[in-house]
Amino acid sequence: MEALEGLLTGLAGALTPTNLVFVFLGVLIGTIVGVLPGLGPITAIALLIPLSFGLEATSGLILLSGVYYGAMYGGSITSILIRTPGEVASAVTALDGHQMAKNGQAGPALATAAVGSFIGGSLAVLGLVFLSPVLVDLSTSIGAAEYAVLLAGALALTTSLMTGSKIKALIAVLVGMCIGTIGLDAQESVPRWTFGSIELSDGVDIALLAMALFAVPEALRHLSRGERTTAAAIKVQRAWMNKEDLRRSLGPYARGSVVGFVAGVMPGLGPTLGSFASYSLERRIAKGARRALFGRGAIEGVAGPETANNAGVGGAMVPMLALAIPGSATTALLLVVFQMYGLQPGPQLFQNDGPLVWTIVASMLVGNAMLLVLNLPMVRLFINLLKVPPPLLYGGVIAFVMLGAYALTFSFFSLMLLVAIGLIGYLMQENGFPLTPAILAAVLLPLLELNLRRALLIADGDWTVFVDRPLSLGILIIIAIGVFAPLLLSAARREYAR
Amino acid sequence: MKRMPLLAMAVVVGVSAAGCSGDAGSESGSSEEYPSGPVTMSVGADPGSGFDLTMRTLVDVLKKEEIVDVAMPIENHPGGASAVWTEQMVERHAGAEDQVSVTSLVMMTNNARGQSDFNVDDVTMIARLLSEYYVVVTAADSPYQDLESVLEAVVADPGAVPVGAASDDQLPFALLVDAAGGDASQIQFVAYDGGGEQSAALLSGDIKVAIGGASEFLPLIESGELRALAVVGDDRLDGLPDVPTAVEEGYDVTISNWRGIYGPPDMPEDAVTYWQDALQQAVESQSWDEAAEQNQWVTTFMVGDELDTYLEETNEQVTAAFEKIGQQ
Repeated sequence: MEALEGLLTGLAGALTPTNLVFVFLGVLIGTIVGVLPGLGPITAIALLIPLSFGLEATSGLILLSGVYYGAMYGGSITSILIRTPGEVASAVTALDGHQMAKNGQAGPALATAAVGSFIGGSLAVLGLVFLSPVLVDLSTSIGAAEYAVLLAGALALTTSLMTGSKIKALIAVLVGMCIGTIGLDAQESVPRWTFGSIELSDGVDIALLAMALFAVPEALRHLSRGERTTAAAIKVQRAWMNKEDLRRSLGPYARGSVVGFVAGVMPGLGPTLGSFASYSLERRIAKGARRALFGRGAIEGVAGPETANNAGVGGAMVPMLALAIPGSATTALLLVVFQMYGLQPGPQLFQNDGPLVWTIVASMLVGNAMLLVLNLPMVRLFINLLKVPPPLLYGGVIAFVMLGAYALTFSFFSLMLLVAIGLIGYLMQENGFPLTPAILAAVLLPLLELNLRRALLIADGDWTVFVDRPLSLGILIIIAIGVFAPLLLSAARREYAR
Repeated sequence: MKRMPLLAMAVVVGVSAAGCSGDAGSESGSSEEYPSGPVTMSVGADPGSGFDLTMRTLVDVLKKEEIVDVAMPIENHPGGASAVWTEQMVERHAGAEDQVSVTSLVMMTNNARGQSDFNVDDVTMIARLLSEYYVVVTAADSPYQDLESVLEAVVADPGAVPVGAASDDQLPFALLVDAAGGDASQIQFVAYDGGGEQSAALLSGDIKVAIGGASEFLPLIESGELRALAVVGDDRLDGLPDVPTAVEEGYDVTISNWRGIYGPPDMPEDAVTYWQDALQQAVESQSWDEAAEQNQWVTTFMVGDELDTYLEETNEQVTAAFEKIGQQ
């Protein structure tokens, strides 16, 4: 058990007083940036890089990784309480989490999110330690054709997220897809929807889009109604999960860990897709009355995605550490931090810098435990956020979002873009167009296009590539079953009933 | 829970205060001489990009070696493959003495593509710091053993050999194919966003060949997962002593990705001189050497007329190459 030995040595390193302080600081800052709409883990890590330069490599890396997974915890808090996800990976949490809060179950929602985050985060670290070699093979056996098929399946699922009008959900997806195509196309650098502006040539930043489509419309909605106090509907019944809540959360914890971790391992998917996939999965396998609860405050719809996005962070570390292949923008930044400290992630990392890397990995376990301890007692405190008068609360949200948008590029243009897309989002929301499918479509479509075009270029334009490759064919068959089986079943049932 | 935003602000303020305090103490009294105040070191790309790494390393060296004693805040202004920031430097900061930024071959390719109105003549080029050599790589189990076999295959049937390259790294490969007698406009380029994505695609068998900056592939070349076929540059790389240059293999292509430091147009003379000196001291220091070795940067410091000539010649190569590839 070489890995176990490494992990134990790492734990010894992570539990020294100095390192404990940095783990704590990291997860605390992470929680805060996760909570604040407008500040994501990327911005926070970028801001902290100059500071961490002055630190020893171990301390600096412990701190910055702590910010990364800490942000996943924090992201759920505002998602649930005021429906403004701090970062995109917590977007689907808002669907049922905020409904739970409205039903007076803010406490159980926050608690299950914290426990799920802990379980997902910890299991992912164990997966990272013990399954790395297998996972590295997995992450390198998947090609553009498989990604394209997977993403097409995911995009098809976006409309099924919502209860309510299917047509409006489809229109929202189309709007999201349009936003997703803004910028230079990734293969040939042809400008699309840029109106000649070079600022738009990189497309709309996902962090900005999340602020514009979640925080801005939500804040405007409350402010425009001139609410002086929070709606009476939000009264807190319980601050903690009861047995039933916990029992219903266990399955989503387990499934969310696996789904999130695997999505994290694949370079190019990442935590956002993991949380989304977990939500869809929970919704699909729920039966009868449970299923009808989704969108109205199902605890499974909070437990699953929150477990998955934290598991995704651990998963994303696998290709980053083992192959120097970053799977997300945040891990790409962490990779650079490693290099700045003179460490070269890659197959030789564990041999060359074993003790240091094991310490960082072990610190993630410690950090997850700290986050649980930090977050559970805070549930009561966080709930008080709902007592803040809406003008102050949402005025503050708008201020932070403006700050965050500006900090993305340090340009006025980002602010104008935020306001423009925010107004579109507001109009959509007021007219019953769901925004979550829109943002997921905006995230997924560019990835789908990229991989589809790569697959076709590689196959020299031959579309049979998607059925020729066994793995891609397998995924296609699974998707086909997922899409058509329910239709056939219900048709068969109707037939039978007649 | 009113305290939450306040607490957060306290942290943000605390963080920025801590960030500043390190510099404030070291400011010396000389207020007449340049630089009299902080100099903003801008990066026209995301944190974590190659530009960002270059600038952060440089600022780190300048501080560590005590070459510059004023604050040098780093700002990221990503957009349009750095073209957004170049435009700002030209249009908003012309004549400023407190704005310094980093650029590379990309300024020329942006201009050649029509993606940017500005080129190296439109700003004040201060110095070339380094060159990053390109390397042509395949997976370890690839049938291609040398550059010649790859280029022959591409020339014979371009559609069958997709080549992975970030959009700006297509240039050297196009020149190689041209030198091998092929039609560069027929190459089946597949765009990837940097070495990480390319490595994944090579390992999964999606693509058979890739080209990119040497440092991006080094860990996997050293571990034996990838094989380097040739280096495009003037000499062999220290980190890859067994890999021949393209010239050694019979293809006369040496274009490399230079990286340099520039100021806004009409930057005052004394500021330019100051930075030329400071940068020279930086690249001659021990800490720069270490960083360069680690990143596979070849230090190719150059200023003045020599630099102007180099930039002019390289720009001609770039324009000519784009004509051969056809407008991308």
